[in-house]
Amino acid sequence: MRSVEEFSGRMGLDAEKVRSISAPPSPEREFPWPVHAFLILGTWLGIGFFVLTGILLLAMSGIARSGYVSAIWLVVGLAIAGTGLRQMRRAELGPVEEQALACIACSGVLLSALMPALTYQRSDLAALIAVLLAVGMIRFGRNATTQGFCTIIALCFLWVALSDAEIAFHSFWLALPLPVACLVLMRPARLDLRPMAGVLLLSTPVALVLADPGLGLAEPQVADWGPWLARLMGMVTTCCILWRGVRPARSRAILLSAAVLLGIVLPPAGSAGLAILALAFVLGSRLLALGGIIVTGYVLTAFYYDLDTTLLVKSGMLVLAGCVLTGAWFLLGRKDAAP
Amino acid sequence: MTQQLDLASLYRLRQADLLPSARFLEAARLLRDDAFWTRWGRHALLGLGLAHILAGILCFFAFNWAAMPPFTKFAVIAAGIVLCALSSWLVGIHRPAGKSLLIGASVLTGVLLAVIGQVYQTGADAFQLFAAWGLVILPWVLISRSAAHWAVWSVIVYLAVHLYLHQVWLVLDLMGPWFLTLLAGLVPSALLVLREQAVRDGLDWLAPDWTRQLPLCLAAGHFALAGSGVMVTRSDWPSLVVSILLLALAMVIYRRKLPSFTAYAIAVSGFGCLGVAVGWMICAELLDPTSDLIGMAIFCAAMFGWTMLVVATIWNFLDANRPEPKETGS
Repeated sequence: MRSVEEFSGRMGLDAEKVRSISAPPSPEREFPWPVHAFLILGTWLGIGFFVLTGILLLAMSGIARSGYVSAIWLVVGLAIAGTGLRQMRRAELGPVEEQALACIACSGVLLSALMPALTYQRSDLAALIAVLLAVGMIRFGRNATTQGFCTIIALCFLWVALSDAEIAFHSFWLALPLPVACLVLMRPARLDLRPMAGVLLLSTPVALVLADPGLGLAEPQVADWGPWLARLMGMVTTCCILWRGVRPARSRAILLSAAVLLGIVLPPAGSAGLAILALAFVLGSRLLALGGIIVTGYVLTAFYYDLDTTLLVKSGMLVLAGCVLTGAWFLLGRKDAAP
Repeated sequence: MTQQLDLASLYRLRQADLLPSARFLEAARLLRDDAFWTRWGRHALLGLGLAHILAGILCFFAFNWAAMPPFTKFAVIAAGIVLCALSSWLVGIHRPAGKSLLIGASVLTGVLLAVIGQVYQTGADAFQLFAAWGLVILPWVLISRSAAHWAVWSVIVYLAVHLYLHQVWLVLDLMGPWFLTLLAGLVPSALLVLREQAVRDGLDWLAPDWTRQLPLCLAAGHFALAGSGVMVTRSDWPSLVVSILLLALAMVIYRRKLPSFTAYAIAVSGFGCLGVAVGWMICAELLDPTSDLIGMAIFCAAMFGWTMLVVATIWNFLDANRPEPKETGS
């Protein structure tokens, strides 16, 4: 951390403006984490009942049999999402109201996207509606919860649509936003897209693990190029992050070499975990560091159950990756190599 | 006091368009604690490297496990235990690396006990494995003076008691399931009492806040679950009374005797869960949700309203009882 004056001087910014804008939220609004946890869980439990009420009403209305009823419920869903979004933009909202409205808005998005899927069995149309509504919520909403959950909803519908269309290696396509997420965090827009970027960062390794044919999820027509393309994407992303963020040049060269070797040796999802850790290091974010460690642990655990490779080959891959990482540690530890 | 900037401040500056996107990384580099992240980076490389090598070794042994004779299995694991324990002593038991190695030795002890049971088909119940494991590694936990080691040991002890209650008492129908849940919650409660007394007696290594919050969350969760389960199933009413008394006791203790707003909030949240269950009981009694779809829809709508009311009430109660900002973090 640095003081406002020091930072403003080094960056050539107006110190008074920096001070007023960068001031953290009022301490009166701060509660310890159990209170926030109870608020979130309790609110979402309540909205769960709300959604169940809606589903029961849908079932009673004969949704699956009539296009007109489906259209009415689509409009209802849009109205619910719009109402939640509009109310969330009010200035003075308490935390309970804010969470409840976020849940209501997300319920509206879910309801609208489900209509074509339930009535016409069109998951592609459902995915399109989900993505459009998610973009709208992200653009016009101000709530991190709404942004994160709408991103999750859109990704889930996309996954189902790609799966129904029997696209080869369909889970991989959901991992493509990894470079976009990294870019959003390193060169942020004026709109705060951190929740969306966080979801995309975490969903990438999940998608790549799901895409792995060795886990027995029976993805059709898996091509050999799929895993290699995923490895390349993860490797290039990690290298770009390290290139932009690491000084001096010697340390950068060591880490880039390690990233390339690891990209070749590790399973595709492994590179995604390393990209998150590299991002955490460059930005100095403890949250991303924790996320990267959790993701790496998840990938290692999932890799153990991969049926496409024998335990002996896996053993070799992991030991080799470990040697690359330990070698990088050793080289960086030499006197003139501090990153 | 001079205002300090952090990464979150940079995003606020960016949203106000005071900081150009192209200079964001430069600003982040300026604010970043270079010494900390350099150290973290090196530790991360070493830790991940060792984790991958260890995972590779585990895969290698898994590949050859079925073909290994029993004595080789015992020898490999025992060698791992001896290596970890010896390395911990050489490195220094009270250094982070030494504590980590001793935790590793503790984990391998459990693996050895499991393999003994597997090879000799002793017929022991799972709870006996965990009980023996907890007993054997207790001296190491006390020697290491590590909160993380204590947490690992606590999980093992909890599992031993939990499995005993479910594999013996539940099977023999000695008590109802909700009373067993309550009893299982007494394990983290006892650990919490031990923790508070230990910190009072000067054991600073147990002083971090999470060593209080973790067992309290588990205990409050068990009591809330037991009480809620009683109200939903309408059986085993004494469990509800005991749950309420224990949660109230926690509230009083962390309000008056050992003031901690975080711990107090955890206990109050347990009451919130009971409050939701009360609503369920009343709505189920009045509305009969299993009758038809309309009945179910009305029940869900009523539960939605009741749950939001409980959440708002708990929030307002905590807001009104919150101490001055300087005490908020405890």
